[in-house]
Amino acid sequence: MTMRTDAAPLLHIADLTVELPGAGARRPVLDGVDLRVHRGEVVGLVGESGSGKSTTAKAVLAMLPDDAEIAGTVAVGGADVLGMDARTLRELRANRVSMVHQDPRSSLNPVRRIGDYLTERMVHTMGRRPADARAHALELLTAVGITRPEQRMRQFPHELSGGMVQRVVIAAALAGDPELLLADEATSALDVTTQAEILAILREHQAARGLGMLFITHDLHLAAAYCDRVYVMYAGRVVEERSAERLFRDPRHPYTAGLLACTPELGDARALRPIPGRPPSLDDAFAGCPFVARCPSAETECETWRPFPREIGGGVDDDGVVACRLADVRDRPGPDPVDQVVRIEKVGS
Amino acid sequence: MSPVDPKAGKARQKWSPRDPETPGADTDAVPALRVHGLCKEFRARGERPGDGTVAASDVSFAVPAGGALGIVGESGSGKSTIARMLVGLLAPDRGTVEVDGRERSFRSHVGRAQRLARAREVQMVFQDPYVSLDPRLSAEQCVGSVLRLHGLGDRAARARRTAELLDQVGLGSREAAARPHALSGGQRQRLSIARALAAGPRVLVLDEAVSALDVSIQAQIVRLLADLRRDSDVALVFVTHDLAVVQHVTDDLLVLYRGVAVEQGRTAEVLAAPRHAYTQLLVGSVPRPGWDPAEVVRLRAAVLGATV
Repeated sequence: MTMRTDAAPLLHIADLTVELPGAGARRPVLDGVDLRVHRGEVVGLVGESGSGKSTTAKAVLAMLPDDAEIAGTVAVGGADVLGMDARTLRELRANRVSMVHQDPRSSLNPVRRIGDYLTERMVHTMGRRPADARAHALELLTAVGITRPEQRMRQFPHELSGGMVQRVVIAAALAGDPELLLADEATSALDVTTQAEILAILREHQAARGLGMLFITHDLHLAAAYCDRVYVMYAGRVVEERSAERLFRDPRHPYTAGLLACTPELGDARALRPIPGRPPSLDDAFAGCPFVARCPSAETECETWRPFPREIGGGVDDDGVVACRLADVRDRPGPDPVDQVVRIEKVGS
Repeated sequence: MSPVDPKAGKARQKWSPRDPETPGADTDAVPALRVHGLCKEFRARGERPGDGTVAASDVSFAVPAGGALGIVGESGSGKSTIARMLVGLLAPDRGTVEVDGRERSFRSHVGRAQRLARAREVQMVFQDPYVSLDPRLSAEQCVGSVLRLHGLGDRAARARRTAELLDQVGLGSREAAARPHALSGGQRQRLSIARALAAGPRVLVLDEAVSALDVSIQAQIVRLLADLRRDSDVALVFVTHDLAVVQHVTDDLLVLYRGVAVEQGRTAEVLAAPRHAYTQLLVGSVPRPGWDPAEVVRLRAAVLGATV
């Protein structure tokens, strides 16, 4: 696949483990996470609440709590983020990596005007002259599809709709001319038609500027429709990494298959097949596979055998990684292959 | 002004009281819930009638006993306002709500007995159970308090019924003694449903009741609602923005745009072949493989006009 070339990835997270002893957690928030985003690539990061999606994004900006115990590396353009001094980090956050959050209103100061929000970072962090900053802000607002930008610059966040505030936040995220965009549930709070508009704007700028984008969402269908490649996280670990199309058509990890079988899909009236139990909290520790308690095809060994992400050896052109003992057993030539155990089909209605 | 005239393309039959073709209404039987000509406008101080925000404009529908109706729309379409009028938290400007053929009163100055009787008929499940549950009450106290409030049985009978209800929604004895903070999001929503069922309602209104849950938990609650429909004849009104979920819960669908029911019909038919332009836009906005958001933007501009 073209995206997985030998060129150094724009974002390279390697074996990242994050523990939060202060929070009283019994397992790491992130546990050996490997993740790559190349230039010009949209990479999805999918999982339920508590799976570590947002923590991964925060690690990219080195915004983890002070008492976090961190092992592993996070590199943006080859530079190690976790070892950066305050000044370099500030430069990274201002100019190289931008983040768009779920709730755009909480990103903006409610008593400052839209224009102030856009220009003050350009003036103070990027050292532009106020007049230049203002001109650039107007350009950015126009670029994200906001009409009458002069008027919007004078308005306050509460005077704009949710979709429009999210556009303003995206304009601000593009102000520093970043290489990497982190979108953390950036469209989850929006109506479906507004969501499509924001996604179209993000895609347009991502493609035009060749940005790498890490697109975090709880919505597997959205990730499959919007991203080039998708990582699925569970209990702080990456359990599967595939091209979006293959993930959707032929999930290899039982959790991914379970997520697909329990996510309602328009035009598919077959009964939903819920995954029993609930997503693990930080109080749940695991000796083996974290999904074992909810997995329909788990075996006794899965409780103690820790699966590590491993290349899928199936087809010639198949790519990707899955962390499942059963997939391991199936792919390995041997006398007693466990056949088809990890494939869960939706139950017919 | 938007190019959509919500009434112009009103594709499916407009409901009328004697119309046997009404979606969801059985031919002769009195429906569990019948809503006719519901209107509600929110006006700021000094605004004249007609200048305010229209949250419901001549909305009519019926839900038979054991049936389920979905109300879908985007934020501001008026779906929560309609839900609140069904329950009696808001009074409509015009229109009637009937339960089993009896018209519900919206007068606020009535006695306690009347208020309770009114509340029993229609119960509601809200989006965020952590806000709607009393943090001081354990699950069984929560359900028990509803039974006591409505005077349903003596102490022993109430305890039995409480255990039954918690069991019905899949909460065990350990959860029965737990307070909301010790329950997971899915368990809290199960408790909310048990509490609503405790009153023995004819109609259960669920306002975005599964929207805040993780998908694996959401599927469990959807299945719980299916079990509920199989085991009882309570009528469901399922309010949501999520078109994919609504097909798993409801038989009939009402699509709301700015307070107007632009399309009504069988859920499967409306979603498979939407007739109104706005419904087509909503269906087209749902992400699927090979989907291009830029096309939705063009469609939206054509249907609703430029909004920014």
